[in-house]
Parts: sequence; structure tokens; C-alpha cells
Amino acid sequence: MTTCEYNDCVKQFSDDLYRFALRYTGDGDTSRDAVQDAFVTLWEQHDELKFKGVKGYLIRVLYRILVSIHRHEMVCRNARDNLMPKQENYEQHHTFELHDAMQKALKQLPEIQRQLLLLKDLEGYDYGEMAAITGINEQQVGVYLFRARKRMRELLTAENLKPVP
Amino acid sequence: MINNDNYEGYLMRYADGELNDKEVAMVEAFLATHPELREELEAITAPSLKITPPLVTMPDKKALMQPVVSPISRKAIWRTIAAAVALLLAFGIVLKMGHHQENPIIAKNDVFKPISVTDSPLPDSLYIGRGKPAPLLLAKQHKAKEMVAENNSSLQQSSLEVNQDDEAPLNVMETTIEDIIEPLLANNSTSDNDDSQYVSPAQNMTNDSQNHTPVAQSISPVSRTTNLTVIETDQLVTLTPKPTDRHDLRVGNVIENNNIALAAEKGFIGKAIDAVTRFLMHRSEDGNEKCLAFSD
Repeated sequence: MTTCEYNDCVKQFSDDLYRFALRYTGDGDTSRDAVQDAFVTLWEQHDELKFKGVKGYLIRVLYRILVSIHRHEMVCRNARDNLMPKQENYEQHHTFELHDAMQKALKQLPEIQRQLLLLKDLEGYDYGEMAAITGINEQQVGVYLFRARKRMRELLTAENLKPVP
Repeated sequence: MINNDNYEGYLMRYADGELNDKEVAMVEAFLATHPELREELEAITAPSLKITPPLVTMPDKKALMQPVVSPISRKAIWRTIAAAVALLLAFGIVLKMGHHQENPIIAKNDVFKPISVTDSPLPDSLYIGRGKPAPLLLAKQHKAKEMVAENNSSLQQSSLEVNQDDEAPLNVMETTIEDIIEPLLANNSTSDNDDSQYVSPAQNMTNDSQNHTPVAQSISPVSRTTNLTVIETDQLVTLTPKPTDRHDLRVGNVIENNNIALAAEKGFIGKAIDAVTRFLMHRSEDGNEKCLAFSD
């Protein structure tokens, strides 16, 4: 992949990657950093890659980054909860966060269900591709997706029925 | 086989079109017996529940891009370098050509019509270094030797002085005519038979000039008395032997210093020096070319 093709990747795919990350994390800064890391990885290997299929490569890289970020946050959160259980205002200040109902519902899904749901709805991957990315078989992908959609419907219905404060 | 424990995966794959025909038929048969699952499947796959991307764009997108050095720019660089080299070469060639053409005397060669020793071009017979003998030159010297013996006591010749400008010359080689003549005379025995080719320049000279000095009479005294300075420089200012009206300067007659003087007096210094240079070239006995003096 040439430098021009790499820059074309930035133009074409960075918005999609950012939206994917934003749906996944709900946080603008974290999503931007994750996308930047993904493109840094792409640039480091751009000589060995071809332009065709590079978006799948970027999604897989971004997925690994997001999973790593999520796991790191979970470890940090658990540590803080254990060390400072009474302190509640430990959340970092975020410049941009999604606060819509869909994002709230997504945050309540198990991680694997949220990942598969985003891969399916935002990126349109088929089951084989999602199985390759997540490392589970296609039948299990179907099971997680079924449960994720069922749970999303319950959460969004409850959110819509919630009285306005 | 689909059943109540694994229907989730099958139903989801059925809704997303991931099943083959056999599996589709199996799922439809299962849904026919479980209509509540069909309703549930339709509910969870409603378009309103599909995850939508947020209407945002990636901030600082340009910061991710890398600077591009296009191939066109590289070509332009090489073209510029090639053009510069070509210009330098052209400039050098022009300077070189200008250097060779700066002697105006060469352009006036037609002024000096050599006396007719022979109608054929002489340089090939005189430039010994080209692999040919120099019969004409050697015959000339042989004839000169005889005439010197006859007139040794009666000849007085002015000295030929080739001076240079006050500025220091680049290279100066001094030699005497004696140094020149001796090796030529040494070859006399080999050129005795070449007299038939020799036509003395004196025979072609007119006798109406008081300053005329036969070539045969000019050799020996000059060889005894003259310091001939041949200067490799672009600026030869004066040649001061006795002037003559003769115009018979040519290769082989250079020893006639009057002619050299005439050429110098008329400003054809390059012509004169060229003749001197040609004369001074000879071949040594071992056959190796040797040049005693050069001039421009």
C-alpha cells in the first residue's frame, strides 16, 4: 500500500471506525485515541498490506484495541472500587459522550454481545467474519446476537416507557 | 437439528440469511410449531432496534495522514539535475571551442600561399609521428648541408628572436637550431635518395628582393648563432629578424627566418610558430617520435 492509499484509507474509513468505537465505548476521547492507534498500526505495516480489504484489517485492529481498553478500564475500575469504595466522583472528565437511549442500552450489554451487535449493524459483517474477529463459531455468534437483540429490545422499551423527569 | 435448547442461534441466522436451504426448511418447520418464537424473532429484528452510528466524524483526521512525496516531484528533481548537467556540458563545450578558435591567424590561412615545393599536401610527409618517413624534410636538410659547406664563410644571418610578452609565459622551452639540426643531419644518410623529391624553396623564390636569403644559406648560420625560443603561450609579441617581402612561408621553409619575421610582422604569429613547431618535430634514430618544441 502506498502512502497515497494509506491517506485514502484515512479519508474513507476513519469516520466509520470512529463511530464504531464511539458506539462501543460511548466516549469521544477514548474512541479517537483508539482510532489513531489503529491507523498507527496500519501505517507501520502499510508496505505489507494491500488497499483491498484494508477496512477489515482496520476493524480487527480497532476491535482488539477496544477490547484491550475495555479490559483495562474494568481492571482500573475494580481496583478503584476496592481501594476507594466510598468515593463516587472518580470518573474522568470526558469531552464528549453519547447519552442517547441506544448508547445507554448498549452499555448494559455483555461485552461480547455489544461487539457482535456493532460489528453486525454498523459494519455489516457476516457470521463468518464476526466469528473470525471474535474467535467464536458461527452458531455461537447467532446465539449471542439473538440474546443481544432481545436484551436491547427490553432495554429500549423500558427506556421509552420511563417517565420524563 | 433445531430444538428448544439451541433455537436462538438458528433463528438469528435464519433472520440474517445465514442458513442453507436445508436449514431454512428445518427452521421454518420449527417456527410453524412455535408461533410465539416467530413473533419474538420479528420483534427483535425490527429495523427500529438496529444500532445506528452516531452522526459524528473523526476529529483531527488530517493529523493521521502522512506526507506524500509524489513520483512526479521525484521526476521533476531528476529532470532539473539532468538539465543542469546538460547546461554545464554545453557551456564547457562552447568554452572549449572558443579556446580553439581564438587564434585568428588560422582563419587567415588563405593569405599565405606556400611556395610550390610540391602540389601535394605536405603535412603528411613532414609529420613523422604519423608513421611515414619525412623524405622532403630530410632531403631539405641534406641539400642545406651541401650549401652550407659551400657558403659557410659568406653568410651572415640575423638572429631570430622570438620574444614574448612581458607577462610570464606558461611554458617556455628553449633550444637552439643546432640542437634541431644535428639529429636531422644524423639521418642524412638515409635520405640521400630522396633528393629527387626535393625542390628547394630557393628555386621558387624570386631574386628581386634584397633581403632574400636562400634557404640553404640560412640554415647553418642560424644554427650557429640563433637562440630560438619557442614559447607555449597565446601571446607572442614580436619576432625580430630582418623582414622580407616574401610570402613563401610554409611548412618546410620555416627555417627561412625572414619568412617567419614577415609572418610575425604581418601579425600572423600563429602561422609562423606553427611552421616552427612542425619543423622542430623529427624522428630520432630509434624511430620514437620526439618533439623538441611546441607552440600554439
